[in-house]
Amino acid sequence: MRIALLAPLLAAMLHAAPAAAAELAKPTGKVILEVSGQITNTNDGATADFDMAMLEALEARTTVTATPWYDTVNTFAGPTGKALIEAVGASGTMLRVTALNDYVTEIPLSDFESFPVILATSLDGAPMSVREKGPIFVIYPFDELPELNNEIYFGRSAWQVKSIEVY
Amino acid sequence: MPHDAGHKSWWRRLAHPLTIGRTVLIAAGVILLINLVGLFLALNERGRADIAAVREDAVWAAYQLDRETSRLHDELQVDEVQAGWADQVSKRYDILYSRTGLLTQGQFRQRFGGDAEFQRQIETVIAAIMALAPRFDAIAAGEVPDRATRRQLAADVQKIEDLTGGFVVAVNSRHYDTKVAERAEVLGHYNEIAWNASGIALVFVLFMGLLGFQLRHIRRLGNSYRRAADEARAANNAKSAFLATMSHEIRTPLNGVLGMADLLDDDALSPSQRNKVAIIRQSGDALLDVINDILDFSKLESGAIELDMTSFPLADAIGAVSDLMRPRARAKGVELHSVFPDVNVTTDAGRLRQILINLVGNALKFTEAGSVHVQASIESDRTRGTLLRIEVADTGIGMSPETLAGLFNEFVQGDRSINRRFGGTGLGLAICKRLATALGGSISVESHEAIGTTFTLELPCKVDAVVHPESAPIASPTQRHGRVLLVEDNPINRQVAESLLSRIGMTVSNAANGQEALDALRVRTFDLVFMDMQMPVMDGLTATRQVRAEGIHTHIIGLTANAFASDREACLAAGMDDFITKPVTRAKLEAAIDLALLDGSDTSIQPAAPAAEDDMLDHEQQQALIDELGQEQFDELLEHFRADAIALLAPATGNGLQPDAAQQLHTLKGMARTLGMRRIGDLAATAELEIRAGKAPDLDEIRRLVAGLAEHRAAA
Repeated sequence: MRIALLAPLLAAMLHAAPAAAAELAKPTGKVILEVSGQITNTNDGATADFDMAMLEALEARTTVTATPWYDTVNTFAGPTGKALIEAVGASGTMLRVTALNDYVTEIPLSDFESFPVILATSLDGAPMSVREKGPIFVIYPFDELPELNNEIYFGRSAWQVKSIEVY
Repeated sequence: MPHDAGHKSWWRRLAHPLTIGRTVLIAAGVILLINLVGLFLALNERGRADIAAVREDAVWAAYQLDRETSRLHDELQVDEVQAGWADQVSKRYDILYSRTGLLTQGQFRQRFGGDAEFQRQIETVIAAIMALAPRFDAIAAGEVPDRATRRQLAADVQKIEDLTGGFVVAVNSRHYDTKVAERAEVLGHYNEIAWNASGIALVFVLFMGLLGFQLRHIRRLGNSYRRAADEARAANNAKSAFLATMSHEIRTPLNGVLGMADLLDDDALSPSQRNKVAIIRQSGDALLDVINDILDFSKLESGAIELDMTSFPLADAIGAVSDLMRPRARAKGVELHSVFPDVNVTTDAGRLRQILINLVGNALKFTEAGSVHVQASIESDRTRGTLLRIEVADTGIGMSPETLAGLFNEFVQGDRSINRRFGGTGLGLAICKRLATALGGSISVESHEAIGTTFTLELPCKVDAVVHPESAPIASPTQRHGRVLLVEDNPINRQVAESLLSRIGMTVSNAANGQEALDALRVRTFDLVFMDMQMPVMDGLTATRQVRAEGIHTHIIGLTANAFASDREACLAAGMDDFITKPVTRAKLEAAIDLALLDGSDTSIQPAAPAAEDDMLDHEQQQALIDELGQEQFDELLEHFRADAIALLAPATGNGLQPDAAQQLHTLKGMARTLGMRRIGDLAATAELEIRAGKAPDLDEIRRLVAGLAEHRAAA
């Protein structure tokens, strides 16, 4: 009884504790994502750079869902948003996501903690080129969680993501 | 047939205008409500589809396409190719390329897919962008285009930009068209909702109107019912009055029959003749009973019942009734028992006797063998206080439950065969019930066929222990004498009364109407006058008034067939001293004569002589009061009387008399006699009569006596 009560409490405490500042491995391939702002784990000054291999090393998820941008149900795969913010030791409340065309989308950090949001790097099993809205597409599980199936979350689903600033 | 009738009434009920109105309104209300719900659902569905958002996305997508084309164009217009230019240009082209997918897939296609003009434009734009792909692929692969090639490329992109620019305008204008159309549609919905709501409001108002109309209708119905009830009540009262009148009319000739039978019985008759006379007498008595029943019932019905609540020994009621009924029981071979506590009860003795005679009479009537048992007990009931309960149980034929149900209703007998077998008016139990109710009590019955019936009478009343008087000296002269003037127009009645009076010992003179009586009284002196009420030439009341007006104080006793209290009051108000109801019997005449000749107010016989001490006070009455209340309280009452008497005599002191002087003297008379002040009572009675006769009374002696009361008391 007491352990059952304590377990989630301990988990919450561990989660809340800021991860110790640590050097992130240097990217070896082409950098496709730069994370900056209130983060503790970096590998390029104040920035954490990621190449595809580093993203693929993070905890991943596959989301099968219909979206407003395609006619069919598609399979998106890639690292979870939660894994990313944990990897960089993010401590802010908001994410400012910038796309290749400098289009900026604001996402609350809590979205990545509350929902299994992914930074999709592949569509239907194939990597996404820029022409196919790649290399990174923020995908919410619209079909799994109907409360996400509205304009607010469609708007937060940025594509052609190139950088994220935590603040 | 009944089914048919039911169907018809069902149809008529449905066809009633109010019902139709109500049905139509309810139907209209329901239809409007359903419509309203439908409209709301449609609006809700629209909101969920959220086409507006998709449309704005489309505008956004078209704008983005145009912008990316423009940025690619800008990138191609550089004069000098810098390092990283190829990457930059490739990226720009890739982004532009990625935008084409949005125009052919997803929501954009769903929205504009059906529009051929758009489709054509989209295809042109996409084809133009796709056509440039090999050249940008080459740049991405490392080929650096010269200035002329770059200008050519820029010119091509410029052409695409012209297309996308036009596309933005087209999408935008379509967006506004749709927006206006949709707004019109939504407005239409709102209008419809407004109409529906107004319709429902109207239905509501009409419904209220309908209800109001119905309410008025119901009120009008209620009024007509009330009128009908009033009319029925009036008709019932008329019936009662008719019954009462008829009874009077029958009693007058019956009086003659019975009286003559009485007289015949006194003559020398053969046994056979005597037997016949007895039968006449019995038949007459039976008829009289029936008439009395009807008269009683009429009186009860019209509410003219007067109760005389006195304390009397229960034995006077139950014992007397048992004695009365015993011969009848013996004749039938039925045992009659009565058991009752030796107490005094306070209720109307006459009415109680009447109920008991009825109940015991009924019990004997319906019992062929066995017994009739009368049992009285005193019960203490928490809510009703002390109760006198009298049970009359018989072992007679009993009654079925159906018979019991209507038993206490008027004119209803057990069943029809009973009427044939036993006779009777069927009013007896109805009268008993009404009497019991009038006395504040109730009457109930329990009966089993062939086993017997038990009636239970319960009356709330005060109960005291009996005080047995040691001796009751009753001065009743056995032989009376005096001069009587009999005023009666009906020759038979006159003959009956005259014979009876002669037998009692009176000397009788006759007068056929009020005028003759008046003439006789003017010239002769009588000890008593028996005055009939209704006579030709001059009726009894007018004659009495005239007699009193002329200052003749002879004791006048009214003869009335009317037993109503109002008739009695009329007698006394006219100046009569007493009255007896017809039919006239020897007993009634004797009682009235005794009362009149014992009464000291017969001033016509002897002129007012100085009052002897014994005429002053009624010692017996005073002693009885003192025994009952104690000396102290009696003295207190006396003192009250003195104060009241002085106050009552006050209005008469001036020159003129107060209009209520007669009433006040009447009150004084009652009080004085109650307290045993015989002389004061008599003087007050005389004064009252004088005032009523229009003469100025002499009050000096009363005043003197009242003033002397204080001394009397002081002396005592």
